[in-house]
Amino acid sequence: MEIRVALAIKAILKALDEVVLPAVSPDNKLAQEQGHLIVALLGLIAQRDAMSYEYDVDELRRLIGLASDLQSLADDPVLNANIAAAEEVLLNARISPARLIQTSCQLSSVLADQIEVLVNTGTELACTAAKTVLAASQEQALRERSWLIQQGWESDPGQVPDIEKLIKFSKLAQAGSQL
Amino acid sequence: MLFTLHWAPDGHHIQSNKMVLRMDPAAAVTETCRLREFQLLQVFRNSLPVPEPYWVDPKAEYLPYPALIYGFAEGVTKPSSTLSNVTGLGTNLGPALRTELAPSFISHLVKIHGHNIFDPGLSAFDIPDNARQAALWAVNWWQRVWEEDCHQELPLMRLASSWMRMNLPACEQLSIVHCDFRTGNFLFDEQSATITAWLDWELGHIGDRHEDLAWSMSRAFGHYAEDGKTFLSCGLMPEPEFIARYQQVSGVHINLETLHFYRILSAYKAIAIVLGAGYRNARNSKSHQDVLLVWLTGLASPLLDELAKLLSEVI
Repeated sequence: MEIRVALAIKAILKALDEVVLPAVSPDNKLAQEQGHLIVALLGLIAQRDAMSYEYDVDELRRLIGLASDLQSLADDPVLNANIAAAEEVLLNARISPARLIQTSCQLSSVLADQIEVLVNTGTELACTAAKTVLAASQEQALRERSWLIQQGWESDPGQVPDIEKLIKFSKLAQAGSQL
Repeated sequence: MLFTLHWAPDGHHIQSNKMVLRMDPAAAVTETCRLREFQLLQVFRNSLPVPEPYWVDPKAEYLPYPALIYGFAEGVTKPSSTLSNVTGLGTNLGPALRTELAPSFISHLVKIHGHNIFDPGLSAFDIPDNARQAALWAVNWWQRVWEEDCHQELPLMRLASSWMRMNLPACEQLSIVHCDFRTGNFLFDEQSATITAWLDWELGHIGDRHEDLAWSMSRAFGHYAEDGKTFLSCGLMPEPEFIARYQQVSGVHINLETLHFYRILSAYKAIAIVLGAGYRNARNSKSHQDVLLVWLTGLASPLLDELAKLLSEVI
């Protein structure tokens, strides 16, 4: 669970509004102007962040529609290939980040309940379950420590691998990152 | 909040004193009792460096929220030349200062633990009445905080609470427990290298002294020494030395199994604070420093790693 953008921006806006900007001298016009622009820009991001993925999916869908309309007029192989690739991407884009996060939360909760039941049996099974959870948890903790390495909590940052090595990207995402 | 009070304590002669108002915010990362905090300052005012306690308003009869007022104490929480993360975490005192401060750190902790738990001045405190109740109350407290405040349940936290309930240690000797005894929570004078005041007594209760020792040993509050290999608890001394010196000064034997239990509890508690209560307060815009609380949620990552490692040693 990394620090979510929505939560961070909400807290940043409140700090800027209630603490930082009131302390900026009214005589410093540039700082005042830029301070208010920062607040406005962050406010815009905060308002739209939750829907930005759907916005991009919608844009792709519309582009595919436009491309398909033109395809009927100009049967160009390059255009045809790009429409096919775009449609495949759109097919894989149906699940929103919000749904992804919600599903993780739900599964995490169910797992926690199951672990408690298993551990309370006090059997060999409980020990196996506990060790499985511990191994997975340490792997996840390493991932999160890497994600937030910039915060400076680590006593020995050199021991934490780069996040790129720890996150399992899908083939599609890897293909996208090469463009 | 720091302010200057102009008053006449004897009813005749006006004097001015710098005071500190500690008042409950709308929501905090820990729910505490101002009366217990005040009573601890009173019982220790003559034996430890603590801010001078003046008034307490535990039921908010005079102030908007429960509050206490104590005298301002001089000193710093970290050397003026050093940097640290927020709330004093990871403060590096440097070799000279840590050598000077370490003995007082230990002796003050021993004094807290050695105080009579039946002191009449501690009327607001509950006393556990069976051997495992101190541990049970601690687990109940922090599990409740986690369950009520967490945004996303974590399998590791449920494993930890289940294990703790099945392995509650017996407390051999009840003590007053400060509950946040660490570097960052004492003021010191840089010139004389002496501790001038212990702060943040609001979580203090009667329990097992191992809880304080374990908290002081949390990886979150320490750092590696200049050799890059020796981890210093609270940035003061290596763990084995910390335990040895505590035992030597107190004359009390530290039970390593009990200590390990409380190290697990300490990690669990810290996670409940930063990722549970802190996260909840920031999400609901309840504090005057939400941005700090959001920043602190990142501390959960190394704490979760510490918790998993500690549990791996006993499972």
